[in-house]
Amino acid sequence: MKCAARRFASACGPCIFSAVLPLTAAHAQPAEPVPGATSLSFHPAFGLSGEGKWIERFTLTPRILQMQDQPGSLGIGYELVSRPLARDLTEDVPIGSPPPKIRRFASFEFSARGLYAARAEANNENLIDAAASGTYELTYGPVVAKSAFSAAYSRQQGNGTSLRKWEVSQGVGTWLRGLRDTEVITRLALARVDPTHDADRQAALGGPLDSYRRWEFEGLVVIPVLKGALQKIELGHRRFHEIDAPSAVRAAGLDRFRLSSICFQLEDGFFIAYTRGGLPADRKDSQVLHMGWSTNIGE
Amino acid sequence: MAFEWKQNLACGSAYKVLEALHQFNASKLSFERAADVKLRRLTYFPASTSSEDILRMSAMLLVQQYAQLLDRFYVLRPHGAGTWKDLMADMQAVLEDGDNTIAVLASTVDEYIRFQDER
Repeated sequence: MKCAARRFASACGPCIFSAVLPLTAAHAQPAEPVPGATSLSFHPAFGLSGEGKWIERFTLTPRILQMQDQPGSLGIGYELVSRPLARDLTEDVPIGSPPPKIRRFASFEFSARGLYAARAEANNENLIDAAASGTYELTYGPVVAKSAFSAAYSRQQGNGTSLRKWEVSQGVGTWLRGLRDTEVITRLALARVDPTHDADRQAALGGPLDSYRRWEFEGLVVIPVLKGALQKIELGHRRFHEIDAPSAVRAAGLDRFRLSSICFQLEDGFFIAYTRGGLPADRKDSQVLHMGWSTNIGE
Repeated sequence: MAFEWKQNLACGSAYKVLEALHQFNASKLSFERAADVKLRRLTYFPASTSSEDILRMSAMLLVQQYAQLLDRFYVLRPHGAGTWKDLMADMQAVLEDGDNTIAVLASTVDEYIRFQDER
């Protein structure tokens, strides 16, 4: 049996392939719902599925696609999901010896799925939906660093509409043993944002929404107090800054957001917090004093 | 055998190390009550952000400090072939879930470490 999947899988390690037999019919969920359109998707009585050392799941499924009031089409659906590849690269030190000062981790995962139709107009799903992410983490004594990336790409067949999102981030933190075990943790990210639904931005631009890049920063300082009822003080700051924002977006005040907070954590989940500013998802610039109690059901 | 919270080094070490790392106020939290305290109530667990990255880094820092103090305060021998790498990875997973309790953390450590009061 020769196919691209087998070549890929055999390059990565032992793999198992099997035929899938069930016959199913289902309404397909369109990536972007088309008003009034119904897509019927039949999965005929054969297909391929497999797995391998690096591959958790691989499937190829022939399908018959039927759009309402339109000619049908043959199609083939596919799905490729990697096994989450996580490696603890820390030195193996036996218990009885001092614990390792350096710990390292790396992880990576990838997935792609989609549907190809012989007649593109009959394809009411995406041709490709792919995502990948990876991290590298390092602890060196009282310092921790985390590098991460994630990316997602999707494309419709025929009209070529695509959506791309990615983010790279770097986090750094430290534990200040001499300062009552205060923690300082920061995270800086560069992200490409694809705003599919953003009424404020659309109104400012007066036209279609394009993707844009922005810097994102988050910082947190945790100061254990442990005096009286006060457990700790948390100081937080978040900032979002769009890169090369259009003048209309700048004029509407949609290019920069910041939110600062101070939270006094009391005993048993009670807290008093003060926040000032707004976030891209909650833009109303405000000053709010919160007093409350947090818990999880079952606690 | 189910882990039991009692006055021994496995449980006492968890209480003492977390207290030494300013994770709770010992004058307000007795040893007996500590077993069922959720980890989200400890100071390392972020209360004002839901960022998983921040929580992950905070837990990584605590694991490192916890292991250093454990080694400094106690004479440690392994249960079987477990290593620090495995123990710290398991502690990391426990600390990232705020619904775990201090007793869960203690039992995780006890799976790897034979304290002096254990045969």
